[in-house]
Amino acid sequence: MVGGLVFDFFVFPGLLFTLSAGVIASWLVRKVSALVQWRVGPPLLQPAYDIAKLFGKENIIPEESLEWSYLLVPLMGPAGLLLSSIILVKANYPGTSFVGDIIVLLYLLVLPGLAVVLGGMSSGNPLSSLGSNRELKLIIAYELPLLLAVTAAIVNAGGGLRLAGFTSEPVVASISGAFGFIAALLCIQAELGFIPFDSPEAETEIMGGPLIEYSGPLLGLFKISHLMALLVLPLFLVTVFLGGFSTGWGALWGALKYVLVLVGIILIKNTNPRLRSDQALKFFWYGAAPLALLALVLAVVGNLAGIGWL
Amino acid sequence: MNASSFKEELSGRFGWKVGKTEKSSGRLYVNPEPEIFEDMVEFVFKEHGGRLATISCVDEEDLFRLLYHFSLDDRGLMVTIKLPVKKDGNPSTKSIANEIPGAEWIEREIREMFGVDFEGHPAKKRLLKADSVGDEDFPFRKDFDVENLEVD
Amino acid sequence: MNWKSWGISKSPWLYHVNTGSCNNCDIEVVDCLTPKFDVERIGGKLVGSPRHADVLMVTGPMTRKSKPRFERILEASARPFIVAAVGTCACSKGIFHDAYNCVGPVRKVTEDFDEDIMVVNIPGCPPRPEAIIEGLDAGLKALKEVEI
Repeated sequence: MVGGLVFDFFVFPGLLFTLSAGVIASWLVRKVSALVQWRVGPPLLQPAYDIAKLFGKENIIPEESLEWSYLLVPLMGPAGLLLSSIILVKANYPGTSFVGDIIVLLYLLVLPGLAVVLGGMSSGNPLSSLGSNRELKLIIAYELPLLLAVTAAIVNAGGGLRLAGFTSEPVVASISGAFGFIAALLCIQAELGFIPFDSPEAETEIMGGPLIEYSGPLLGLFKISHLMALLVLPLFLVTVFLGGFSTGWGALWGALKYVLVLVGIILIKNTNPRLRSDQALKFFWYGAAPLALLALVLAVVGNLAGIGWL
Repeated sequence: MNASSFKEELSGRFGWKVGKTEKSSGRLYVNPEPEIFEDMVEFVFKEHGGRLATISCVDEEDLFRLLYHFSLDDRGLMVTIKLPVKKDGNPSTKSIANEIPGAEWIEREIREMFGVDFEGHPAKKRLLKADSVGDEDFPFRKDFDVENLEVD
Repeated sequence: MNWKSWGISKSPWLYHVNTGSCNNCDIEVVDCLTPKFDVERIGGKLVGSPRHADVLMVTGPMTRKSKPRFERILEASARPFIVAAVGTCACSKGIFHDAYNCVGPVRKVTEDFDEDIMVVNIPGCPPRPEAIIEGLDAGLKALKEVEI
């Protein structure tokens, strides 16, 4: 029993699996971006080299920072994402999930963004607090459409609050599911901090954003959090909207779905300019949120009237 | 023949006080009498739409020569008005920064690098000179001692 | 070669510092990041903060006013790091050899600050992006001989 838990936590689907899959996903992002821009791009293990190098660098704690917060906050991101990864993969592969686990997951997925905000605010640097400001604005912007889209998916799949309940029939095969999927994809783009929603880390404007004072192992923890997010967030979309994955050939089909979502995110990242924070807010609240609301309304109508393809 | 025609206009306005002029293609150098200098600047700047390009300063052995370069864009002509400033004790001349705001920073730089004082200048402060070079050391003068300057 | 120097040689994050240059070398440094010359092949990335930097790409002959600021950047950067002096002005002051206002070259200022910082000199006026990447690569390979 304990051995099983240790295996789950540390190997699969825990730390080792999330980190390795995150490294491959991060490499995929950089390689596809490079190919789209007609250049060569980094070698396969480059994200792992980055993290390994960061853990060898000096750890500088600024004098004006809030020390206990500065040191503890980087752990929030990897902790939340590790638990989310375990919940998600277990809901798919052995199919064990508990009632309400999708709500737990939505709460856990706020932690990485919040960690960046708190880290920026406890650094004691005016530029980093400006970056935290922008990140917080972005979180407020994208949480609303994400929750509406996930609610639409829940209604579409029959109303059960279990992650395993989505895997019988892909939600995206209906109109409300498709609208919800598009809204959720844009929200995931913002949550990962990719262009066109990367105003918090605008290098030319605020020199590195909220993480400007972090260095060494603490910065490595933030990068680990980003790697894990690259695994967990598209997997979340695949589970809720695209029908998840199962064992055997289903695992291959699931991996293909995951790669397709990731490539979609990369292509959006490479073909768009950056939005200002107020433009991003307007985009999410006046563009993506009405779309998700429409999806919710169609899903409710379809459920009550018994129409399958709505 | 832009330079010749503009020289005619200057002579028509100021007569003999225009002084010696030199011409080359697209450029006209004027050495006016110092008392008509401000009137000539106003003539070129206001009446003919000359744009102040820059002001340069040359350290000739016994005096400083300030060169005011005005660009007459429509005619394709550059008019340079030369003004000598004597080097005794406190070399100074009248500032044109109150009429031409663009001259403010240029005069500040000439003042800190050469030591030429501009009377009536609105903001006499350092601009580009490094803090370790003292207020009475003027780097662009020919007699500036480069070897023995302290390195901080 | 210990773990730290191996780490920097595999994933050099670049931070660009201009200490009074005419901007030609700066344009060539930025060119290294474009698709034609692509420094990401060797793991390079432009970062916005000196605390994240592994290689400080310094251009310019170190004017008097920029010297205290450069020393602050050296203090702020997370050890271990190396300094790459890009361009002839940064390597040896170039045509500004006798200028009163230039207190370089970069190597002299860095050694006065801390003798253990490795400085890679990449001459050229300006050096081509291929030369900059080759110099960077040679400097990172030389890290195998030293223990930082």
